[in-house]
Amino acid sequence: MEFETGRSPAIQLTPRQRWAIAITYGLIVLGLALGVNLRDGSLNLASDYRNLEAGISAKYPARWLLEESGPFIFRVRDMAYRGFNTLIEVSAAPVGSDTTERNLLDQLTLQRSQVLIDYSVLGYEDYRLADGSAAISMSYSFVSRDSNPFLEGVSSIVYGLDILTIRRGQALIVAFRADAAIYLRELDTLRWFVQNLEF
Amino acid sequence: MKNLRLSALLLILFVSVTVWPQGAVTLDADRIKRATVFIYQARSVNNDLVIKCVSSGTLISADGLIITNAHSVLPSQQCDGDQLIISLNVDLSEPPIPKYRARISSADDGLDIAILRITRELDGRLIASGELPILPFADIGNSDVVAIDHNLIAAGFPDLGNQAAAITRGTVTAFISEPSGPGPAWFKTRAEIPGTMSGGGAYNSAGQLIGIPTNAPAGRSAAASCRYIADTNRDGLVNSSDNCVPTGDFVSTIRPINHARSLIRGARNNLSAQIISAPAEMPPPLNPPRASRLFFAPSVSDGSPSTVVGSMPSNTKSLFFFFDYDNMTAETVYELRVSRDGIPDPTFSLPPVRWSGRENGLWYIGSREQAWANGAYEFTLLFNGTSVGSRRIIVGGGADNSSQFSDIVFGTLDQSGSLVGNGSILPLGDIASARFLFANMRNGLPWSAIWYFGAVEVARSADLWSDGSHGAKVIRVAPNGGLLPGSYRLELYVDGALSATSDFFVSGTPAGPLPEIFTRLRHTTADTPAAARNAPALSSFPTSIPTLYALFDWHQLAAGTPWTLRWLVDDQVFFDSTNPWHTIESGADFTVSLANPPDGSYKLQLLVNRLKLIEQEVTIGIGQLPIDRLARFEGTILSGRVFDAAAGIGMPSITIVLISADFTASEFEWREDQIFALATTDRNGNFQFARPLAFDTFYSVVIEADGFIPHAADEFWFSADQPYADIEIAMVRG
Repeated sequence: MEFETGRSPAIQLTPRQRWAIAITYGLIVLGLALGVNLRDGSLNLASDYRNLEAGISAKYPARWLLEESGPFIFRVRDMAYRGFNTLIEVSAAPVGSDTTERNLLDQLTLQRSQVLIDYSVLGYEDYRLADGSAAISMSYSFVSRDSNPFLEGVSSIVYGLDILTIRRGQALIVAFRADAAIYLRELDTLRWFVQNLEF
Repeated sequence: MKNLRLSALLLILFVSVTVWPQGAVTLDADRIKRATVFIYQARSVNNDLVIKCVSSGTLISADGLIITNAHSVLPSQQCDGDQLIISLNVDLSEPPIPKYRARISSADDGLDIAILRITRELDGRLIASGELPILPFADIGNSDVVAIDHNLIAAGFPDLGNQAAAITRGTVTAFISEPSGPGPAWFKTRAEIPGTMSGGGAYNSAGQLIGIPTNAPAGRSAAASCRYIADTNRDGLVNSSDNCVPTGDFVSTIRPINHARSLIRGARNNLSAQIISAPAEMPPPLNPPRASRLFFAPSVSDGSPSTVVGSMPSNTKSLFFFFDYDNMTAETVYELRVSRDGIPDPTFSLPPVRWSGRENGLWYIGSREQAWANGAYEFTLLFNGTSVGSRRIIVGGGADNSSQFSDIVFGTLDQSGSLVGNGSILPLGDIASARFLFANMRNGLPWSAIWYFGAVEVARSADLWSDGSHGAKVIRVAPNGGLLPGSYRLELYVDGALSATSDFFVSGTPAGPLPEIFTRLRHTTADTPAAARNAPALSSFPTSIPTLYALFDWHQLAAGTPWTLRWLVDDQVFFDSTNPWHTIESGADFTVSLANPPDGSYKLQLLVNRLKLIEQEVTIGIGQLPIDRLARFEGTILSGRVFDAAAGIGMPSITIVLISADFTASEFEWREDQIFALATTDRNGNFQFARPLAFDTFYSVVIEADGFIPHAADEFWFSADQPYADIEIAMVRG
């Protein structure tokens, strides 16, 4: 039995086929770009928060979890982050005529030292709000750990920043907390949040 | 939203669900083990914690209530710790891990039951209200329906924290009755339960908690029942100079859970009743405990023997051993050893347990509805390891046809000569009467009656019988100076042998044939007890009053008379305390209080010698306790693992969002009120939702993680035969 051997003839593409391939690749690239754009757009969208009773409106990153039941006016958390979920919490506290911002921050420190692991105040600084008014900030750190005793939870070092201002006989506290590994990056989110906060 | 729908398909492809049916025995055992905790009672010494006592315990609520023995957690001479450390069974195959600290929420040292509440992390940080994870807990069953030969599963830790929680199987072999409460005082079992499992749980075959394995360490001198585990005196050696941690011997007695219901109910609702008018702690008795007047009776009526017997016929199914006791305290350990024909009989013996009675009085230990084999029984009673008396009785032969008195009741005679009253409490007066039954008597037989006031004989009559063989007879006593308030006793003898005996009390002013002891029972609220005495009586109160006060007047109530304060909420007892009266005989405005009572209908009852004399009900708020949505643990426990599909390794710190049944994944807008529960993966990618999923209810799951394609899936549901489910979720990079 004999077999024929030899090279297959070279494929000659027609111009139309060449155009078709080019257009296909182009569409794929365009599709990927659109997809990435859509995804980024989706992830970077902002949601609106409005609380008429408290007289507060704000914008917060879309797809962050909004919570309103707790010892705060509202709180948002980035549930997609793989670690301590970055959070921004807005709360109010009554003040007396002799109450200073520092009194309130010290009170927060005393409360948190009872419930947070290795809670430590790092420092105080003046803070300028978007409308130019003055506030005070307190930075701190603590260790966060999953409290489920039946899981091998991973501890995270968390940095926090409280921004506190007193207006109309009431203290407004914006608490920001993020995993130490991404704290500096997430500070941009806090600045954007504070810029859009109205109260 | 389209992204989510696509991901839903992906999730279905990448999720595998494993469901364990309810019938699997190992899973019931796992749940029981998870609810079992190990408790260290420790003391702070020079910035160090020295272990003083250990015990097992059982979580009975999702918010951290634990039931255990009181003797190993309440401060005492033997267990003088000031900290309670709770270790959880984190891995069912490994020893427990200390996780929390707890405080005593309520306790009854006589019943040897304590309810603890987890309040702090192990490092001492307070756990804020609602911040404690939902913990696994045991379902509480009904111990009144337990019968002889029912299966029994005991759970606890078999040694000093070196091993994982263990299960021991056995059966209920006997019931022991005592005056300490309704129903059996103890279940007996021959299951081999190590001493450190005391305080743990005893379960029926449905996995419901029906009792608490209970023993009492025999004392410091019992070297076999304590262990030296640490160099507590810092001399570089662990030896007998160090603190010895008592472990107790094997446990064969189970305290039925129904004895603990009022304590549990009070702890669950944070109801803390306080007797304000009571004086401070009574001084403990100076003399050692002792027993006297040991005898047997075939049955018990209102705590008194029906009659006194020296032998019992064949096929006896009920027998009670009575004795008088004195100088007892809640820390007294008592024991009854029963032998038949010289051979120990574990069925009817009572191993060392804590005393649950008063300082002095009449006590019994016995059993009903259980066959006693023929033989010569010897009952030996021990207090704190020392024999204080013994008594023999023969079981066998024919029916007892000896002359006999029985069933004494007390009262006053009305104008027609009939005995009237409540049977055991007489008002002040001149004459007390007693009616008793007699059988197999012969005319001419010598008989006598002796009346006592306290321990003092006040009257005696001796005569020859002349009332025939069977019937009822009334006798009476008229002490010089009349009937004073206090405790009385009548003993009836036939031919010189004790045949019947019973106690009664004289208290209160006469209101017809009945005594009026408590009057002007009323409720009010005020800032202080003193203000409460002048505040107007109310029958309904608004929500969130700081303190509810109850006040009453009392008349002719002698010191030492046992009285009971019982408080119910929504017709369920949450406080039941019986104490000897120890203030003046008559007075006004005895005050008790209840701090921070939640909404509900509250009923206060006052009793003397188990007889209810007065009660009053008031309402707070809506008149009903708030509904505890976690009171019953029903639903599927959903756990699982999230892993990287490419690498196959578990992914830590991933948050899994379980959306409530009212929303689908596509409707989820990242609002808290749409979420049923959240879970976060641990370092191995494992997670567990602490809140059980309702059966036959649809849930949705959403997972978003930076660097991975978001996942979403609808229509997660589990049926009633799926108490546990495990899911594997593969995450795809994107």
